[in-house]
Amino acid sequence: MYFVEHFSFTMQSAELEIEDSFDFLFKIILVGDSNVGKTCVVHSFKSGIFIEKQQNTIGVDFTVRTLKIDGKKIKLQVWDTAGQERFRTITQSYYRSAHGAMVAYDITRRSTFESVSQWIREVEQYGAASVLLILIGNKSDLHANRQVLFEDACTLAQNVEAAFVLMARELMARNGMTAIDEISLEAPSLTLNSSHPVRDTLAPDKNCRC
Amino acid sequence: FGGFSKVTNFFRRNFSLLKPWTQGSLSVCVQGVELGPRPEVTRGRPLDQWDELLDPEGRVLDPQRVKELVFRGGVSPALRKEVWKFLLGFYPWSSTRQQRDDILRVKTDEYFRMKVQWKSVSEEQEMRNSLLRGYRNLIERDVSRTDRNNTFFSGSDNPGLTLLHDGLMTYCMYNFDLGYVQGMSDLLAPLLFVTQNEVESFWCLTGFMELVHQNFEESQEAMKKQLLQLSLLLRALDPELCDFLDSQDSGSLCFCFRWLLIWFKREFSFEDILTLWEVMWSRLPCENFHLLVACSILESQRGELIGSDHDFNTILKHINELTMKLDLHTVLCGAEAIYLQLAACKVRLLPIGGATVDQIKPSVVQMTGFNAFVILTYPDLFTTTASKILHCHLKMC
Repeated sequence: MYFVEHFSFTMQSAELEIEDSFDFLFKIILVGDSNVGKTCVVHSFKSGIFIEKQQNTIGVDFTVRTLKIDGKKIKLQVWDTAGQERFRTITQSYYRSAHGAMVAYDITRRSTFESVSQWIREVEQYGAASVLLILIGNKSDLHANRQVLFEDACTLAQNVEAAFVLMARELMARNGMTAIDEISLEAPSLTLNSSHPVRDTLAPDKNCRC
Repeated sequence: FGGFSKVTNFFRRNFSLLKPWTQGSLSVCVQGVELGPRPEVTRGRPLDQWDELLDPEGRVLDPQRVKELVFRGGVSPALRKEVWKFLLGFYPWSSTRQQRDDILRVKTDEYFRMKVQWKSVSEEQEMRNSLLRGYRNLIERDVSRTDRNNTFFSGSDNPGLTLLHDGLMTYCMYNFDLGYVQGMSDLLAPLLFVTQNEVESFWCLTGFMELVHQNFEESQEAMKKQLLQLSLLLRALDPELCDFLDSQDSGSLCFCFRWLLIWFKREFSFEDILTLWEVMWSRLPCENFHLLVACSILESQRGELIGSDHDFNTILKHINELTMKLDLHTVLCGAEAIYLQLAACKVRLLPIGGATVDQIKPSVVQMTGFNAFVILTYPDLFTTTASKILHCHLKMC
């Protein structure tokens, strides 16, 4: 069972949602510059609905979704953070104990892609050593305004420290699950490093009630 | 104990009001102080008479009384446009109608002078001004997602959006060092909605920012300080809740960050925010009333928090999900009741080194800041609890 692959898998096949008990709990932090669409990604992940004008996030927000994968109940906590630099003091305190981090950028704004390395350093510094990383290029429906090539993201992904599993993918929060489905079909081929098996590295959360 | 001097220094730094009595080693000890019963509080009707509160030239006869009325019941919607300009310092309370007309004229000129400053920056110039470019980008992005459900900002070509954008850009010119920080659009939107006027809303924003601009500063020191004050206050009010939060690694109360940064803007409906803000702008009954509002909400959630086996993660989730579910009336009654309870608390001091009880009491009564007050109501100041709080604080830094 590979965390990264299954994370993409969970997005397309939401089965029964069970809030109270779980076999595995993963905490995933979502970072990236302001207005790259972090909250929209979380929102469509949670509810499948794209909201055009999502309020900016102040501090940290939080979404939970429990899914059944391979007969196991997987509880995902997604931590959505404020993008503006000066609020990092507050968002950093939520990095610790994250199992995964998603670094998001906007494919129509080069500057948000250029910040990605900074965000990765941030996660390296404040997150746990074994944190898994996913790179998300958002707003791929606006491809007419594209400023970041998909290949650029793949190059960046390859150059990142070996400690990270980095997978470049592009999302359209706007089209929700459909878009994610299409992309996740390609996902395994985009995995540039072998993923860490989750079962070996993570014990079930202490709050597990099963 | 070893950390004692650390603790002393810490309190000296943070509780300046106690300075006169803390020369050398600590010279004031606080003996057990018990909180009395919490009084019942009722709220009043919104302020709905205005002209009769003015003298023939238009001066406010009794500003204190107006503030008290606003604190007690808020302002009726029809009067907000006028009263807010006093509450936010655009018009001095003592000004006559004539003087206010003059002020408006001068301030209108001043506003448009600053507006021209950013409007006249050419695209080429802006290419070489990354700060301004950055502010503009952020503002454009945030304007398009601030209170879009409100009729004043809904739809794609709403003139309200331009007003919001222009007000925020002009604020950057007014305070370029601070510039635009996320959250400020939340502060301007209600001001625009109420004043329906670009110039007036701008100057109301500057008045509001006088109270909260430190929240937005790069260092975030003011936010850390308020979270610390809030934790001290909560410790005095509800040690059990504090112990629980500590045990879940949440003693720093960072889940209250959003509340304090933009004065609960995201927690209540737009209409309720107008009331809550005007109550807090009255600066009654104490400057840091917003911290008591936070205490009131936290206390209302104590059963849910302690009883439901929440952890670090779910505490944040629970608090965030209170948005739009809180009853403003109850929260305000609770906050005032806490204030009265604290204010009635009999402080018994053991003076050492010349300080007398009489010297200390005025600072308690005046409530110039919560710092002294919290210390004075905090029963076991120099015990391990204090070091725990200190520890929380250091962790946050």
